[in-house]
Amino acid sequence: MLKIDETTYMNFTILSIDGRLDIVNYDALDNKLSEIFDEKKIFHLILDCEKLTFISSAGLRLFVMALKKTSAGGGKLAVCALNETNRKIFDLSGYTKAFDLFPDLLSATSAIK
Amino acid sequence: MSSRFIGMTFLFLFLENLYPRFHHLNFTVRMKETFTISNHISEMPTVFENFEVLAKKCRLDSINCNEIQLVLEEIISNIIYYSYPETVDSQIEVDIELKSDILAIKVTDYGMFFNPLQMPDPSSESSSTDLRIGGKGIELVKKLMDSIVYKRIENKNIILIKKRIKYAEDR
Repeated sequence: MLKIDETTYMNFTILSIDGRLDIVNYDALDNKLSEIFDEKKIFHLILDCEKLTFISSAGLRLFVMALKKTSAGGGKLAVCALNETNRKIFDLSGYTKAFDLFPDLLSATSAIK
Repeated sequence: MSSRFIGMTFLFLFLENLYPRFHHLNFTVRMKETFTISNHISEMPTVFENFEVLAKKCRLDSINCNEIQLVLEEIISNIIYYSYPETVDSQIEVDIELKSDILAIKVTDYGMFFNPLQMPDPSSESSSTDLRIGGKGIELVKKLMDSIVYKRIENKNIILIKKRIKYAEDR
């Protein structure tokens, strides 16, 4: 129900989120974030949401945690390719200004690296 | 089976299928799903599946579907965490009804007093340094739905939520 693909380049990592980020499935992203932050192999992070079909507050919580951890390490976090519904949830939660949102992976990659 | 009965059945099925397209004509056809789950997060997929049955019948679009699923998740997960803080096995009843273009959700549980409307309302922050983790669920429900009412009746918590559904052609 939730698949996370990790691609690491020189100084940034892309996590592609595929599926539902809800209270039942959020563990897959939670575990992946813990893994990459614990190994301290991350500097900048892109969360690619092109295949993210659903997000609830359980998922938003992980985005906030990722933002805090990248900022604490001096890195940047970019979120890209949110669909209309997911973008609305970001807007309603008041997080739009806090995150650097990009329409697609290419623009996120150009801005972050 | 009489031909009259078969005819009525076809007429009903025909109207039921047409209803979402002509909801503005105010047919008083009701669509309803009622089910009971146990107070465990592992029951959430059942909630989503049951809602999808209704959503399919009503031809709700993906935007409406996602928003209502989010509302169901936030309300029911909060009940599981706060109305049943101890590991007591109990049941939660869920009624979802679409009448005309009004979607009404009623969630009933038998746990301790828990009014989600009294949960602290996190203010929207714009600075990444003071973002609070969590606490957004009920705030999102209030923003996505038109009304939310809580009642404590005898040993039951009852949450009633309503929203006027906008179909694609209304947007």
